[in-house]
Amino acid sequence: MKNITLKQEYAEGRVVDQGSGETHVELQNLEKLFGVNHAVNNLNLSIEKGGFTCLLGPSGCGKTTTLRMISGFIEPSGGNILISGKSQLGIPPHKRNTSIVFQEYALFPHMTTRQNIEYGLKVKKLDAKIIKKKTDDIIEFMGLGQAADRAPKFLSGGQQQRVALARSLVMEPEVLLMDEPLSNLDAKLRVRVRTEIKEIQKRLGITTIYVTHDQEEALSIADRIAVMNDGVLQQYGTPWNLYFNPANQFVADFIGINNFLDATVLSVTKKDIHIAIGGQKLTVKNDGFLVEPESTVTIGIRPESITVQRALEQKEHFVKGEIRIHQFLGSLVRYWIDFEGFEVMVDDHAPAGTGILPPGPVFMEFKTIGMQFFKK
Amino acid sequence: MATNTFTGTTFRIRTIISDPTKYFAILAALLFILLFVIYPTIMVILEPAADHWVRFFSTARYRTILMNSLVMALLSTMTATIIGFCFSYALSRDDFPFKKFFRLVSFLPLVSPPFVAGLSLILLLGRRGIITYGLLGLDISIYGLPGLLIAQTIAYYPIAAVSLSGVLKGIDPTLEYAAQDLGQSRWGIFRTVTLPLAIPGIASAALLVSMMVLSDFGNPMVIGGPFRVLATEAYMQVVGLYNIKMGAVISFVLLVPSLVVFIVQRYWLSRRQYVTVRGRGGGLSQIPTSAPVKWFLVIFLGCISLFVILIFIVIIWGAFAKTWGLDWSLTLENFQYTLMARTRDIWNSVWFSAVAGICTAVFAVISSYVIHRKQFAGRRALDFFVVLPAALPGTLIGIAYIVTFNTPPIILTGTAAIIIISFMIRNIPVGYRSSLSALYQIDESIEESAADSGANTFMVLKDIILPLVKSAFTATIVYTFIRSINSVSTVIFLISARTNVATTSILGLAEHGYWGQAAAMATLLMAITLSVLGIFRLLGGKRLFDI
Repeated sequence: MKNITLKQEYAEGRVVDQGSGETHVELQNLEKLFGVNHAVNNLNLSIEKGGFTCLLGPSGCGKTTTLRMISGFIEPSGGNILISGKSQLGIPPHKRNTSIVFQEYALFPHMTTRQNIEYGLKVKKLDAKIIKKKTDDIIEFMGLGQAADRAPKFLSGGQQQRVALARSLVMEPEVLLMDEPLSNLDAKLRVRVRTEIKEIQKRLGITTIYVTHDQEEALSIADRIAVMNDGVLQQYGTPWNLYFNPANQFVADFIGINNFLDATVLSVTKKDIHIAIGGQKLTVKNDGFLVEPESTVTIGIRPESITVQRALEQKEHFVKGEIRIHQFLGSLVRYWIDFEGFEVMVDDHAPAGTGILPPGPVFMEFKTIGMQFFKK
Repeated sequence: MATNTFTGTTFRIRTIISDPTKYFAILAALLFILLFVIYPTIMVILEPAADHWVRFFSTARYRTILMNSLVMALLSTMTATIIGFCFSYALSRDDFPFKKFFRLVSFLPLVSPPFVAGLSLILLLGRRGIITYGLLGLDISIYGLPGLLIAQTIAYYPIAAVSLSGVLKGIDPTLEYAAQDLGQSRWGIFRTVTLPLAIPGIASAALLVSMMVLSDFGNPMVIGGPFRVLATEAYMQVVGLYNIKMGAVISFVLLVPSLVVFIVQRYWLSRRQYVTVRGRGGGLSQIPTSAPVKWFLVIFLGCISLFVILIFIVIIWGAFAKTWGLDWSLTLENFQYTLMARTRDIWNSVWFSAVAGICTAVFAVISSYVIHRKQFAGRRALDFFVVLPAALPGTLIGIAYIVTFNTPPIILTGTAAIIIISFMIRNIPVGYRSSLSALYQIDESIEESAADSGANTFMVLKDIILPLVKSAFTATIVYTFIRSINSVSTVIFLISARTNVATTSILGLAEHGYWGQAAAMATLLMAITLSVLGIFRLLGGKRLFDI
């Protein structure tokens, strides 16, 4: 694993994730080979009961394969999957206590909303009255009353999504699996539906594993996120933790926006770290970083962790750059600043007070919150 | 107001002058359809008097023939559709073995005239058949309903298979996964998901087969024996008794199921096509087919395939056998006869079909382009009439053309032109649709940007559309060629001594018991078809029969 973070808190595991603590789904050394390629490589993950866990990563990272192994559609090449402590290997999908919502919903086009929802109950050969009751309840719960007797193609994207979710939930699975369920919705609807999904999940307290490639979606919806790349787990933690304490440069880059600057560490004291970026020297507070003097590192710093002000008089912990261009985005102003050969993105979240700075020389201050050091 | 109208008119004139190709193309397409689809259809409707209708429905003989036709169509449609479904279902499964072989067999009968099946059955199971007489020493007759059913099933199951394959392949595998996730068994998935989704496709395939079986008369003529059907009766009335009016009545009865097919497909099935949103596919391959189903299909389709192959082998063998049933020694005499006496018929077939192929493709591309990308009054009507011939049985078109083009103002009977035009009309619907689906792949903005650069309709067609629909264009040529060179039901009414074609020639030989010569000629015809198909595929053509 390259570019490991150099922060004491993370390295020592001092940042503890909050959660129920009770493991519901456990992946042990899980492995999937397609030919000679590792789609999933030695994955260990314990997913807590009642939690909302996202598997996040770029396409081809193995997240969907992992989900399908949990659902039973793909047999692992190695390792184990435990649900409530019981191994699921060799158990077919419908005998597992999981239910999956597909990306494309997979609603039966020849059935109405109601028929889609009661399909699984009928397969189970439940009593007709019970089927009706359960179906009615979930239709009401999901607000699908008006859509109950319509075929999927007459439903909006958001409604189709809810029917797919209802069809899974009515089976009362122990674990709900969702495979990029929002990717067929437009941007605005996506934000609304993900809030709905989160609310439903919290109300039912159902353990949910949710696959997405959208980091913003994952941050907003998940209790815990497992970031994957090339079949390998990069980091597993709360959204907060991933954002502020990324385990490596991949996570730092994938989650949120980050500036990466090559720097040399000049000296380290308990209080401060002195570094040089290009021709400029800079002192930052030592916030428990594990850096060694005279080493080269990559600094990751979020756009909102840099403040800018007009270059009047040089101060000790300020560096000098030059504003090239800005974009006014309403709630913030984003500057692109040329700094020692790097292009640094800086967000000013309170532009009302300062106004928009004109192109030209500018001072920048780097705050240590959200700053990361990576070994080169 | 007057000024407005004036401005409107000048504007219109100006647009016509600025883009003559568009208006010429629309006019040409309209004229062609008007002259060779709408006009003959109206003429044939007007041909019989009320008296003929009364006679048709009140005569016991006609009623029997009508019943015969219905029984034959119903039974052979069932068997052909079931076999076609099995083929396309098997071929739609990822884990089905020997797929290449089964794919080949699934459309093999399409490369020969349909009556080759009947001809071969006689050589196999007839009074002098290799199995019945040669092996078993039996003296039984295959002529009649049983033989006809087998022949029609073999000749037409590929139609069902081809028409169903798109439907079965189009079913999103995630639906099966969803059903499985909800606890359904594999048989349950087939029963509650796959089959219901395929029902519209099955209905449409069955209707298509029934329409073709009903209007086919190669097989009834060859193997029907005393079992008379509407198509052969229409031919008898027109060519034998020269009672065109009665022929027109019968061909009209044949039109009924065809029109039902057409209307059902256009207005009912099109609304029931289940197009599911396909995600990225995600590498979810299908759920494995259950072993018993798989092996049942392998054995069932294996037997069918062997039989079909036997049918073609027997035709080739028959072509080389001295006197079938008496002397099975090999000879080239049959080919010598064919090449001496029937070369002109074969040559006619080839060049009529080739010209028809090219003209059909040109017509299809131009008409699909102007109808779907240009705005003009009557656009939707033209779209309807271009595909209408798909609903017209070959027999009807044949009789309509005799009725229409035998008398002034336009006399075409006995010419090559009328045969080529009939080939075109029969294949334009398919060519039009395939060119349309190629056209849908081209974003309108591509043409718009060409137009923006100053290109007119002609230049857009030549520089943008044609290169992009090239594969649909060549496929239409080859498809039309193959269907035309093997067709019987229209052309049999239109041939003259000078313009006889191979299929009708073979039919005549078979009818008179010249099995060897008929088989030799059928073999030559298949060789031509297969080489054209082979060259087309070698040159990188797409699959014509997409199974």
